[in-house]
Parts: sequence; structure tokens; C-alpha cells
Amino acid sequence: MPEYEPKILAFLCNWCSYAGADLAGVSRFQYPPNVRIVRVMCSGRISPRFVLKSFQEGADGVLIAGCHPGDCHYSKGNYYTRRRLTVLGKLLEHVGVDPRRFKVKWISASEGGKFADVIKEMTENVKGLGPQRSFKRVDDDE
Amino acid sequence: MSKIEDEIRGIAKKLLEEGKVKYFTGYAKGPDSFRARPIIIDDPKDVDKLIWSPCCVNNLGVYLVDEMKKKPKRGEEPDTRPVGIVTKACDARGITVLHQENILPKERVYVIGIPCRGMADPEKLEKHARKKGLGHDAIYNMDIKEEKMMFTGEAEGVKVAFPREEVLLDKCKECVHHNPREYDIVIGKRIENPHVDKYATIRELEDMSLEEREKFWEMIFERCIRCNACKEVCPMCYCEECTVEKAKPMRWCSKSADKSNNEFFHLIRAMHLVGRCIDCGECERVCPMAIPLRKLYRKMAKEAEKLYSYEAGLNPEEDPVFATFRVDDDDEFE
Amino acid sequence: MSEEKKVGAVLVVGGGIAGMQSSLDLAESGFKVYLLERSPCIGGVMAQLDKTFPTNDCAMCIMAPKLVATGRHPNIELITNTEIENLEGEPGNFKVTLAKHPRRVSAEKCTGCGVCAQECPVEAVNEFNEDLLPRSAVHINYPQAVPLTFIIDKTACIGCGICEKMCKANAIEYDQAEEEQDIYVGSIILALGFDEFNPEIKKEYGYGIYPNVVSSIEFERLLSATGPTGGMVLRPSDYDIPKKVAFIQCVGSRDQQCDKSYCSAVCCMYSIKEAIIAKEHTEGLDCHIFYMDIRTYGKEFEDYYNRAQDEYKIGFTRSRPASIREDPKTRNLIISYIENSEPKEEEFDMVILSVGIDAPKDAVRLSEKLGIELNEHNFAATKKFFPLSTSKEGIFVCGAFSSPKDIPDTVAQASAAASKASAMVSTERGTMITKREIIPEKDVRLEGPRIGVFICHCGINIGGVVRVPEVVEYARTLPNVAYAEHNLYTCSQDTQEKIKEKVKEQNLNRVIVASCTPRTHEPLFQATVSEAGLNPYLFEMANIRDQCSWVHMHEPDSATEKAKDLVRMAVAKARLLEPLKMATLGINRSALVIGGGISGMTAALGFAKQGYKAYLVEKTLELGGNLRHLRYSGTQEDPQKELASLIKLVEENENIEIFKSAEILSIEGYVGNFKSRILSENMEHEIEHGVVVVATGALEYEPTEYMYGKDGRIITQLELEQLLAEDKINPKNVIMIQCVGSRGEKVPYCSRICCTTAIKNALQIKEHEPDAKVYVLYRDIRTYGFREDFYDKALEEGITFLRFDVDSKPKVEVASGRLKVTVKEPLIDENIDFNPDFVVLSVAQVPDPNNEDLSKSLKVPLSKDGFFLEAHMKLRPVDFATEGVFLCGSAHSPKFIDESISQAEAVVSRACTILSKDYLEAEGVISIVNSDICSGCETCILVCPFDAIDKDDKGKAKVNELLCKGCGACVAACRAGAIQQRCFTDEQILSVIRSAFQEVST
Ligand code: SF4
Ligand code: SF4
Ligand code: FES
Repeated sequence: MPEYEPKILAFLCNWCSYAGADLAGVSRFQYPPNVRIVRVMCSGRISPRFVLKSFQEGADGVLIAGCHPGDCHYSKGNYYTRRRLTVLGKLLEHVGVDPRRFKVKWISASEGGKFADVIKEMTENVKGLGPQRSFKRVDDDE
Repeated sequence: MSKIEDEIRGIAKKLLEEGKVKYFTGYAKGPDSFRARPIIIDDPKDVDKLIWSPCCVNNLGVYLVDEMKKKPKRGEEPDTRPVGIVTKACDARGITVLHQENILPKERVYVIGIPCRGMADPEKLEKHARKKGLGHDAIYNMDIKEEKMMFTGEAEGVKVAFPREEVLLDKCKECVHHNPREYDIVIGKRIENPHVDKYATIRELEDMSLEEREKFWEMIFERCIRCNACKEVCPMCYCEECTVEKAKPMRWCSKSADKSNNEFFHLIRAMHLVGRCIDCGECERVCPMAIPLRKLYRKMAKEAEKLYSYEAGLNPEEDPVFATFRVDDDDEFE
Repeated sequence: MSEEKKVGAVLVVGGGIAGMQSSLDLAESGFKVYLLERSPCIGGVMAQLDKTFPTNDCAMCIMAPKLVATGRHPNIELITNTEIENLEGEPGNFKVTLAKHPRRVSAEKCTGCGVCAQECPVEAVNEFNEDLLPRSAVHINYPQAVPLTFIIDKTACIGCGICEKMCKANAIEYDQAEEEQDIYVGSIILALGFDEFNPEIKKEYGYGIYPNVVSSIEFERLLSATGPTGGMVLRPSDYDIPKKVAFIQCVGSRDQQCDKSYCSAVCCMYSIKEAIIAKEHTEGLDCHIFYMDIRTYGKEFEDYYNRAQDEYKIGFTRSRPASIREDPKTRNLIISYIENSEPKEEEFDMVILSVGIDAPKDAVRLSEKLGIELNEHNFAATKKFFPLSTSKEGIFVCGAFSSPKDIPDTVAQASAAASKASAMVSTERGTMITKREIIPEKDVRLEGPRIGVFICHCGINIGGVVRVPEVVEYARTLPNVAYAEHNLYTCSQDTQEKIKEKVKEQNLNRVIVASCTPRTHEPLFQATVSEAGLNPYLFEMANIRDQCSWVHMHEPDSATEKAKDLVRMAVAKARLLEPLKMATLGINRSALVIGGGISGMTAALGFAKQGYKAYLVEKTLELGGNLRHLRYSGTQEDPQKELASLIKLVEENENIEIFKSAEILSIEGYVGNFKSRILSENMEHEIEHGVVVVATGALEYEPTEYMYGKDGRIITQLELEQLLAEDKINPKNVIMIQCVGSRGEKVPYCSRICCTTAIKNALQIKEHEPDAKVYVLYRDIRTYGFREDFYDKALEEGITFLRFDVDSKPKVEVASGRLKVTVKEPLIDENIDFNPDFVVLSVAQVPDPNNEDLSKSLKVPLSKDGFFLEAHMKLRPVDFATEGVFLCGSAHSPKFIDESISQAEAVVSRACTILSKDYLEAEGVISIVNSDICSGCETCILVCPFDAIDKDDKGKAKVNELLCKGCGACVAACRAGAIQQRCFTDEQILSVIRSAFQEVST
């Protein structure tokens, strides 16, 4: 049986973290191919719905990354994100979701290495946890 | 008849007679002795229907939201006089949130605030009454004896006393804000706020392992039939159409009641209530499937307090917890 | 100069942060810009920095958008690897001859993919990483380089021809030769920046001999995540983590011995910053700074310094070390220094030399070619009241080339120089720029989506890992995909033509390119799509190179699968893309300037020179502000004469309308369209204007300490100046006390100008009365930049400087009619008594209490000190976050005259990027409210960082399209789901999420 390969969905802000992910490429840092990236303009756009929806659709892990506090291209977006997603993390843990499945990280445009490391670590962790079933959607209606 | 009840009636009468309010919402005798029911009166002659008893459980705030949504009939001048309302301390905090969120302008409501030590759980009352051999249809005179911390009732000449601790609603046992903060008039004496564990309801869960919690909630979320009663009764759920369920431009969450969709719905609702839920407990009261919703919302409240020193409905001048930040907020994401 | 010959183009020399800022401002206000850079790419020193003080922002993060914007601005022509050969002509119409050095890689063909560099067998030196990492002979300086064109280092290249074979784009051209080019410009801006001082000259510190002695800029690279150690602090001798490091300040600054008498103005702050970051990167690291004076004179610098001591526990020792020697066994370094007159030694694992700012190497050669004067330090010579002008008309200077300065001051000057340079040719605005051609757009709203997918091999960059043809096959099976193909290089010119052709032929109405990153290539493809007659927002990219083939180089199967997923996700989004129309709005081409001091007047005059109307509002009866009380400038210039001539210019200018004794009653509206009511001399005026400038200045602190006000002989510096100028006094014995108010509890920051002011007045006293005794009691002398020369002069003239500790401030008393000052000298630890004729207090500069009201009516923030707070401390020093509102002068923080003038000119330049437009165009990606769903809770209004949301008359939220920057924060905050962000709607994102895990169904 082939080894179980987790699926991780990452939402990255355009200005820092997406640039950081690009830099990982430019620097040829290798990381596991388990992540799919969705670009948004700012981490402030991330609504808890995106996270829950990703789990529902079958993500085994969800990563959100934005500029470091103070560096947000729109100056304040990530401060709101920080509050909202900190609380979301607590809620997920409260209902039994392993915190290793839901990560938020600040990754700057020059932290290509950090991006690669975050993906490596998360892939490994989620692999260890096995598939995320509890949330997964069973019905198929739109 | 209590003094508070007297005063409520007096104020309501005066307000209605002088035309100062559009109408008045309060409590009236319910279907049985254990329950009061909401009532709306617009005729000063009816004020004697108003009561004040340990059974005034409902949060009437939801009627204010309905009032604000009413559209005047075509060609009619809208009546923008305030609505009079009887509130317990928790309900009053709910009104503060509505002010804060600009749903309910201050001038559209006349709040009678009543310091409150907690209301009785009708089911607990019923159980106790039965133990004492009192029938379901017996007539009780419920009253609040502050000093004794007891609810007393009277039937066929026999006096029975229900110890407060035993009949109190669970949420009232955990309440630490007994006095309304925002009101137009207050009735009754200020009550010393107690030192109790306000988050008692989630302690047990917090001590569980992740897996145990996952199991616990799995059972719960499977049970929900998505009747929407919780949403309907909640004064904070004032959206025109629930954002989670609305179909246009697309549906975030299917209405079909399976575990995944139910969980999606309840978690988003919990997120939407952060810093807004004032723990009136109405959702749990109306839930036909006994979903322990407070166990979600109290957790959220606890985190908001711990992380951001924010409690819902305490200060109308404060910005809502998710609409503001501090640069040095807790940061786990470095 | 004859009118008709003027050219609407400007040459900017130097592509650092200053050059980029000048270029962008000019290009955005309708001028053609030639941006000349000697090295192969722009970015300058800032690209090498890790973080920036005092906010610790990541330098590359905040600079990258400017790099990209400069690189792709249609009005900016980048000319890299090139130098000035000759200058002819006259102001308004210069002919400049350029010498272009060969790159040996074709700029047109190179795609920047980097295969060549990977295959290059030669390892040469990497200048960008300060010799710490090797690089190949074919290279770019850093990954974000603009232009992203490689260059072959001829000295290192062995001519093996490998790169030529590897380059699928045929971009290698070994035989490129030197080339000459002539350009015609109206004016020139010199933004040469600076060079670092070479610490090898200071033999006693052993730089170049002891491996663990590094320069501060090398250390900066060690701290950087993109640096040679990935941000780990390791000492060069053994790659061990150091436990104890020392910084030595003023290496190549304030040092007559190596002919660098001036202060470099930035080293104190950058050393504190480096120490803080080093501590953050290395647990338990002990950092120590050896200094002469700590010069944290800028906005929020003092706070940073305090935090370094209190929070980060960085040690500070006031001493200039005599020498460093190495322990040959441990390679540790032993610093010898004198503290409190006692010789001491201390051992460190690593020593960082805080190297100073040198004049650019090119300065002398260039000054001769251009005919401009340099000062005695080889920096461009400027005058106090004309800080941006060189000695030659039409040539302006900004940034470190006119004097050492930090990034915000540099950026402000860069904008300011742009304003000066464009004012010269303001009549030629818009004559030399490329106008966008308008291609009629096809209406696709009623058609079902027909998507074309173009998948790029990027030579072997993608194709070498991902099986591109397989991905193309797969793309064809996806719903709504009408066409798919692969290209060797999708970004090449011929592929653009092909895309256009296919759009027509296949009747496509959505286009996807799966290739590199949208951050660099989206604009190119969007332009192609619009040339094909489609709205540019009907385009989507899948990043299958930077985020796929490059990071999974050894897993072709998984990479191919991932590429398919990414294409599928792009299709899911593209199906739902909609054409966006950008809102436009007319502009009122005039400015409201609040404050009639030097800043406000300079700004108003600047606008007038650019051809725009300015309304100048002054609250008192007279123009001039604080400058009216200044009698000496410390230089040849007489402040009152300069002021009078400026007032005359302002009052006589037809384009300026002045309101005196005026008060602003209200300001309403937003960028381009403000309406204000002004009460002036009891008349109410209503004016309309497009921008607002806050130039309200600062006030003098009214001291309560040192018996001020209790004795006529205890006066402030301003009062002293007045008395001296009017010859009312002739003091023989004066005590000056520094930091009165400043750097204390009442005024926590440093007031920046008081040290220099005190020295200026002390010298003035000496001029009156050469035998007079003047004592300056100080905490640190902060005569940054060339002001240090003043300090030197004061010492030469016999002015005595005595330091006191903050905990034992001097005491001032009156004893039997005589003034008595007692001060404890920390070195000898003894009280010294004086009986001066006068005690002069150097009082703090404090914010105007009225700032509060103004900040509310303009909806702009104040800093915690009470000054106005700009949009970004580093890169947007004169902008507010609210568009169309600007600030300059002491309202921003205390400032010297030349600095205020620079900021005022900078404001003009920034504002011209708005005023010069025909109309304002909103961003495409903005948010819109669905008022049927909005509950009016106002959460979005609180959250929006740009104050772009308001309520309409029905109580529903409404986004002002011109103010919205499209961050989407409101969308996530709205519980009701009433706001949607264009291009990132919930529906689109939901669809992308779904498609990440499953096939999309139609
Ligand atoms: S479009 Fe293709 S060829 Fe051009 S740079 Fe991007 S990946 Fe390389
Ligand atoms: S947050 Fe949403 S519901 Fe509230 S005012 Fe803004 S758009 Fe309306
Ligand atoms: S732009 Fe990156 S978090 Fe806001």
C-alpha cells in the first residue's frame, strides 16, 4: 500500500508570504509536494469559513500565512487576522481538532527557508496524525 | 405581589399613558406555574398583566431586533417612539451589544433594568414540586426572597420553599454580573456580584483529551436537526439571512443535517458570537435536541476574556473584540 | 534658457531607494524618467538590509513592491550597468552621454530563469553577501533583482560556453561591446547614495586580519534570512554561535585621524537594531555597544534606545576602544578601552565595527563631468535653505550623497528632489510619456466561460521536472476549457502574439497562464489579454514554477500531479472571473496647506511652481512660524533675510491664496475632492481642493525646571538669540543646559535640534566676546551628520562641554543675587560650581495641542508623543495612510530648517502624483457591499485600514471605491457576508477550495 499522503491547503497573503513561497522556489529549497497554495491579497481576508470549508472538503491540514505583525502591506490586516485566528484555533482545539492540523505563521518575503521548513514540519506532523475524517463532508450537494 | 412587580406596572402605565413608548414588553403569567411568558402591551389598562417572578427566563431582546426590522407600511409615517422593556442584567448586556453594533439606537428603547440573582429552571422547579407531592396544576405564588436566597411557592395553604441553589438555571449559577449597567431606570437594590467560576460549564471538557473531546462533540453535532431554533431566539443573530446558509451567491454550508455540515454551522456561529454572546442561555433553552451550545460559546467568551480582556456587553464605548486589536496582542504565530 | 526647448524628461542617477522614489514620483506625475545605475540592478544598500529601525520592518518586504513598480513603470526607462560620460546643454535641456557596459546577456531575451547560473562552473565573489558566500560567474545580485536579467562577470568567466548551451532563450551574447547612448533631459537628480567606510584603514581594530572582526554591513547579511547563514549568527572563524559580541561605534566617523570628521548619522541606530535582532536570533547572546555619544535623535529613536537597554539588556559603554587583539587559540578578541579614566580590557567572541558612511566613490569623477561642487568631505555641496540644489542649476541632489542620512530622510529628499526637478520643466508635463492605447473591450458577461490555458516549459525550469504535455492533456479535460497548449517560454514576445491570436481564433473569454509567479508576470499577461480585447481581470495564473517545479525538483510524478491540481484550481477560479470596471473621478487640482511656517510656505510655493493653486492657512497674523524668531543659521545665510524673501515670493505668487488669522472650521470629502470651510479675519470662506497638507509645526516646551521664569537671567536659547541679535546683552560667562524637558518623563523623545542650536549660539557668544566662557552641560551631544563640524569648531574655540547623568541633573539657584549652577561631573564624580551671568536652557520641541482636533477632522493618527503619524515610518515619511493627505516639517517631529524644506518639497512631489492626473482611477480589486444583506453593524467601518467605508442614507455600509485598497479585511470581518472583494469573492475562493480536492463539475 502506498504511504498515506496528506493534503494541505495554504492561504498566503500576496505581499509577504506568497513572496516568501516564491523565494523558496528561487532558492530551490525542496519541500514535500503535499501543499496547494491559494493566494489572497492580505491575511486579513481569511475568514474562518475558509478554514472550516477546507477541512470539510477534505484537507488534512490548513495553513494560513501572512506578513509579520507590523509588516502588513495594508498596515493592519494581520492584526485582525491574529485575533480571529487565535480564537479559531482555540475553538478547533475545543472541539477536538488536533492543533497540528491548523497552523498560522508569519512568513516574510525574505523567509523562503522558513516557508519550506513550515511545510516540511506540517506535512510530517499531519502525516503522523493520519487522514482528517471528522470534518469531512459526506453529502455531495452544492 | 412583589414590590418590583408593582414598580414595573407603575412605570409601564405611566409611559403608556403619556405616550412615551410605542409599546411595552415584559413578562406575564405563563401556561403553568413554572413558566412566565413574554407579553407585549400597548394599552395602559393591561399593565396588571405584567409580572415579575423567578420564572422570567426569556430574553426579550430578540423582540427589539424584530421591532427594528419592521418596515413601515407604504405612505405611513414610521413610529419611532422607544419600546419599553423589562430586562435582567444579562438581557441588558445584550441590549448594550446591540447598541454597540448600531442595530438598536439608544433612543429606540426604554430599558427597565432589574438587578437579578438568577432565574429558576422550570424543569428543576417541576421536579422539586413533584418531590414535595405538589401537582403540576397547583397554583404557586412565586416570589423572590432575597435574604433567604430561596424561591417560595404556596399551594393549598401549604408553604413550600425551594432552595435557590437547587432550582437555579445553570447559567445563572455561573453569572458574575448581577446588575444591569445600561438602563433608563433601575428597579431594586444593587446586588453584590458573587465570586463563582464563570466558566464552570466548560471545565470538564477542558480537562478531557483531544480524542475525548472529538468524540463528545461528534455525538453532539450528529444530533442537531438544524431546526434553527437557537438562531431564531438569539438576539445577536440579527442578519437578514444567515450568511452560513444563504444560497446566493453560493452556499457555504448545506442545510442538510449531517455531522459535517452541522459542525460547520455551529462553529461559524460560535465564531460569530465571540465577544457578543451575553450568556442569556436562550439557545439551550429552546433547543429540542439538548445541544449544549453554551459549552461552545462559553469557551469563546473565556478566550476573549483571557486573551483580550474583553467581555460582551460591558462597555458600549468599546470597539467589538474582532474589530480592534492591540499591537502587543498575544502572538502564537511567530 | 529659452522656453520652447525644455524637455519633459528627468535623469535620475543612482538606483537605490532614493533613486527609485524620485523616479516613481516623477513617472507618476507625468514625466519620462531615465533611471541610471552603475551596477547591474537597482535596489542599492537597502536591498542588503535585514530589518529597518525603529520599527524592525523587514527591508526587502517593504522595498520589493517599489522595486517591482520601478521595474515595470511605462514611464521609467531603466539603464543599468551604465555610467555618465559627458554633459552638455543647459538647464531645461541637457544632453547626457552615457557609457553602457556590456552585460553579455541580452536584456530582451533573458527571462531570469537562472539555469545558466546553476550550471556555471566558476565560483566568483558575491558582493551582495559581502564576500561571505561564493557565486557563479553568471549571476544576478539577489533573487528579487530588478531587472531580472543575468550578467556575466567578465573577470571570472572562463568562456566555457556552458551557459550558452543551457540557455533555451538564446540570451547569452558573449561578444556584446561597450556602447554609447545620448539622452535629452530637462533636469538631473543625483541619488548616488554612499559607500561604506573601509575599516581596514583603522589598523588598530584588526579588520581583515582577525576573522571574527566584521563590519556592520557584513553582520547585517549574517542576520538576514536571505544571507549566507540564513539568519543564524555565526562567527566566521569556526561557524560557532557567539555568546558575547561587541559593537564599536564611529569606525570611520567623527575621526580626524582617518579624515572623517563628520558623524555618519545612522550608525547608532543601526547598531542598536543589529544588537536587538542578534539577540532575537540567538538565545542568551550578550551584546555590548562601545560608543562616544548615543545619537538617537529621530522620531521614536529614543524609545528604541531605551527598550534596547531595559528590555533587551544590551550593554552600553561610553568609550572609544583603543585597540583590539586576538587570542590566537580561541580566536576571541580582546578590546582595550578606557572607562572613567581607567584602562580596561574585555574579551568577546566577535566584534562588529559600525562603519560609517563615505562619500560615493564615483563622486569626484562625476562632479567633474557634471560641473558641480563638492564639500570638504566629497559630498555634494548644498545650502541650508536650498538643501536639494547643487551648485549647478538644473542638477539636484538627494539622499546620502548630500549628507549622511537614514532611510526616511533619504526618501523624503528623493521626493523633494523630484519636485524640484519637475518644477523646472513643469510646462512639459505629459509630453514625453507613453499614453495607454485604449482597446475596445469585448462584452463577455452573457457568454459562458471559454477558457484558454497556456502552460509554460520555462526552458527546462518547469519542463525539466513537470511533464508539461501531460498537464496540457489534462487541462483539455477540464470543464469550460476550450483550448490548451504549451510554450517554451510563455512570456516571450512571440507567445504574447500567439495568445492574442488564439483568443480571437478560439473565441476565448478567459485566459490562464500556468508558469511562474503572478507577482512578477501578471501585469505582462494582463496587458496581453487586454490587447486581445478582453478585460484584464479575466486572467488567472497558476504558479507551477516557483511553487512547484523548483521546489520538487526530484519528484517529477508528484510535481506533475501538483501542476495539474494547480491548473484545475486556476480553472475553478477563472470560470467565475468577471470583467471589472474601475471607477473614475475628477480631481480638483489645488492644495490646502495648513500652517504658514517655513514648511507650509515652501509647500505652497512648490505647488504654485508646479502650476497648481495652493490655499495657505495660517493661524496667526503673520507668515513665518518659528523661523521668525531665529536670528542665526550657523552658516553664512541670514535666516531673517531668507525668510523675508520667501514670504515675498509666497505673497506675490498668483497661484497662492493666503488666509491669515485663520481657523479651519471643517474639512470634508476625500482625495481629489475635499471641501473645507475656513474662518479668516472674521470671514467664512468655502474652498474646494484635491489634497491637504499638514504643516502646523511644533511648539517650544515651557520649562518648569531650573527656576525658569523666576529670574530674568535664566532664559531659553530662543530668548538668548533674540537678546544677542538685538545687542541687548554681552554675556561673559554662560551655562547652557541641554535636554530641558527632552529625554525625560515629560518629553520622552530627543528634540533633535537643541544640541546644534546650543553650539550655534555658543559660537555666536564667542564671536561677540572672544573671551567669554561658555559651558554646555549635556547628556549626549547629538550633532549628527556634518553638524559634527560645528561641534569640533566649538571645541576649538574653547567652549567647554560637561556631561551629566540623568539621575544627577544640574542644580540652578540664586544665592545673594548671583546665579549658581552645580553639576556633578561623572568622570571625576565631584560637584562643580559655577556663577554664570546667564543660564540658557535648551528646551524641548513639543507637539501643538491643537494636533488632536486636526487629527480627528482629517481622520489621521497621532503618534504616542503627540506628533502626526505618517503612513510608514521608513518609506512613506510624508504621506498619511489616508490618501490625499500629507504632512511635513515639525508637525511630523522636531526638525532643522533644511529638513523641513526637504519634507515640504517632498509633499509637493507626492501630491503631484495625484494632482497631475486627468482623473483618479480606483483599484480594480476593491470591495463592494450588498446593501440588501448589510445589517449596518459598522464592523467593517472600524476594521478598514483606509477609512474607505461609510454609511449611506439608509444606514448601510458603502465602500468608497477611490479609497479602498482592496485588502479584504472588511470582507472577513463582516459576519453577514455582505461585502465581497472583487477577484477574491467568497464564491471564487470557495470554488478554488473545492477544486483543490476534487474535479470541478459544471
Ligand atoms: S513565463 Fe515561463 S519563460 Fe517566462 S519566466 Fe515565467 S516560467 Fe519562465
Ligand atoms: S460588517 Fe457587514 S453587515 Fe456590518 S455594516 Fe459592514 S457590510 Fe454591513
Ligand atoms: S498583506 Fe500580508 S498580511 Fe496583510
